[in-house]
Amino acid sequence: MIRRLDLNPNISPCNPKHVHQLVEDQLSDEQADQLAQHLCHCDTCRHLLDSLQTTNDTWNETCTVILEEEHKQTSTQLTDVLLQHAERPRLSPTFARSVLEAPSLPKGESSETGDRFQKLATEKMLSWLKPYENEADETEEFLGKIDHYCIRRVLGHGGMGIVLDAWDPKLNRSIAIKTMHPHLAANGSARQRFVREARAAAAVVHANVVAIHSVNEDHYPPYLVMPLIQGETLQNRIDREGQLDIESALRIMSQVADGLAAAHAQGLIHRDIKPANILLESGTDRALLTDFGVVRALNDATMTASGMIPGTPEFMSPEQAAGEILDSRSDLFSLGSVLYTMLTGHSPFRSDSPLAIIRRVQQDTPKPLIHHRTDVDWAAQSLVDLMLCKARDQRVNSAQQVGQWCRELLAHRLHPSTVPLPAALQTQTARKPMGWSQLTIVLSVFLIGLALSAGALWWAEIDSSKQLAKPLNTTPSQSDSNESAPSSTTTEAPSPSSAREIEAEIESIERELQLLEQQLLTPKP
Amino acid sequence: MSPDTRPSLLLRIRNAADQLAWEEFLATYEPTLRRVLRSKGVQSADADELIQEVLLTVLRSIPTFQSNQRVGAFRRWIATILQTKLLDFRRRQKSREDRHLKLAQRSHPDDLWQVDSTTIEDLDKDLDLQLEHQIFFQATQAVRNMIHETTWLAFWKTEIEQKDAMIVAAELQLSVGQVYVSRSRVLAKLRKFVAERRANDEEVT
Ligand SMILES: [Zn+2]
Repeated sequence: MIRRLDLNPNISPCNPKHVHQLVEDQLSDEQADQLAQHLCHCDTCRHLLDSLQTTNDTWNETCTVILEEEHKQTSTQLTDVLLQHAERPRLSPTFARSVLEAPSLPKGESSETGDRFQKLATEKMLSWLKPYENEADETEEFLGKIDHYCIRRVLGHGGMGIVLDAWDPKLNRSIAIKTMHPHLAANGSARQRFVREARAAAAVVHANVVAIHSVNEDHYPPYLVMPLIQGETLQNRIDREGQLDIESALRIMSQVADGLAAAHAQGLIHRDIKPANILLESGTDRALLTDFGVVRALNDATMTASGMIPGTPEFMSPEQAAGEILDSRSDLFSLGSVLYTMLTGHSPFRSDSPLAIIRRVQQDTPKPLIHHRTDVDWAAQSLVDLMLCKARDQRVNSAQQVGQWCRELLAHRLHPSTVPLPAALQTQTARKPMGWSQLTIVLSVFLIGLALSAGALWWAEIDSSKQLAKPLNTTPSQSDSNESAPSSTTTEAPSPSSAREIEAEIESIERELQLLEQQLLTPKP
Repeated sequence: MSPDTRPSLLLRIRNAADQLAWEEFLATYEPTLRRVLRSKGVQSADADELIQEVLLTVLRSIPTFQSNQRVGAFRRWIATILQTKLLDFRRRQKSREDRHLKLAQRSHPDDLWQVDSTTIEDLDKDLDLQLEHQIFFQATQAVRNMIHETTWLAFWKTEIEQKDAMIVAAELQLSVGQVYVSRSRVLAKLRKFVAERRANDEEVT
């Protein structure tokens, strides 16, 4: 380095003092110009400068905040509203219906203003596209271009990015493009994560995983090219049809499990398995898993800046909710939640705040499937139980196994006399399937009737038993004193203060019933 | 106005007639509180309400605020107000949730409570960090107007957007050396602005 400098008479000698003065902003303009010339050729001084300005995590976070605030200022409230919707937990089934994390507006709100808002928001989102010029006398109109791809329309968007329907004129085919919002792509580490995760996902080649044709990071913002799958998400289908028939559910589950097994074999964890990330191809029976880590990578980028849990945690595993280090078994829990959702029409851990959902994911046992439908067999319940095991070492341990069991269950349903149930799912429990389900129905009908007619008295009994069951070291809180109120007024009917409260109480009674059932049905040793 | 010659923000907002000071206080603390609350998992609609409550309390009780002359006393006082409001909010939220999850929650009745019992020290630290971010952001707004557009862009693209200096140099038709120098000069100005603002805002006498 020094040798080369000596040989070139045009280059001034190193002056580390000037580098230090530059950092303190103490150079005159003339000195600064000289140093600029020197820095063009001298790696040593550039390294010195870099080392004097090393960035730490706090500064990186500051950069993210600056970008966020800058973006807020320049884009008025439009994007704020979009982001707000994306961050809101899913309240109605119609809400989570797009390919991305969340759509811009729930269906119910799409009034005329909603449409106008959508249009404005779309224009805003796509303002960075290259203008489309009709060069080849195409009959079709496009919104704009990204590199050589012609953009037809927006398929979905959320707080994190956009999915576009596009035309590839070189290969003469329709494709889907997934890109980051430019303001997020402006953050170097978010951009790098997006690209890194996308590359890893591109390595998974399987019929049940949406392929990634290419990852283009030279473009700003970076984007992925994927095949355009004609069809809908599993979330859409459940929103529309409610619970699926058991055969369809098992068919979808076995395919998704196979796709996931291929990813796990590559050492990849999906981290965000949920019905909105499972595509159902129309015209075929094919189910495809999408969004490997990519959307989660984007979420994490915004999460580090805001500390917020992105989207809904409904399909998280307990270890994920606790922020622990994940392995592939976390995906299997999420897959179990998906299976439960297909079989019942709704996710197993629901509540109206993300924190409450997280608590339920960590502590609650979802209601048995039999509560939601009478045509499930015990083996399906065993499978769900094995997947939704809170302790990961007791959980089913591979996606491959899940796929295998689903196929065996399906074969058994179609040919009960020739194909036996998987042994592991039979021996999982000592409870007898027939007696169990019949007894449950009888008991439920009887007890619910009793509960509804006996009203306050019944409630008071449950309540006082609950008081007794409480551990002694419980910190009393405001709500406890509220709860104990009914026991002192057993003869009075509960005042119907709100329909919501009554609904909540019925729900509580149902839960108590569930516990009772479990006690009754667990065979005595 | 040069930041080092004005009286401290605290003194100015104590003077009820100083509308500008109050606006400046809001511009700094409103986004700061919002980010702190977001990091505590408070959803945006709830955050709006809480921020209103905190700011109103500050406005009402600033005449009685007794400074102990220590650096950061003002921020800590705000952290105390925030903690009170946050606990109130959690209590309301908890009793609402309890009605829904009465039985499910029975085995671990005070888990959420523990998760959410945020200490004043904790909030003070969060406020400190988010204030730093916010003042840096305000610094970018101020410094941008003081310097040449190209100098600013060289800084913005390399430091904030973390693009490669070579690429930025080509984009802006500057030499790499000029990009390096521009970035360093802007960074120095930002740091100076932030240091002065923070020293000034924390001065309580
Ligand atoms: Zn040198």
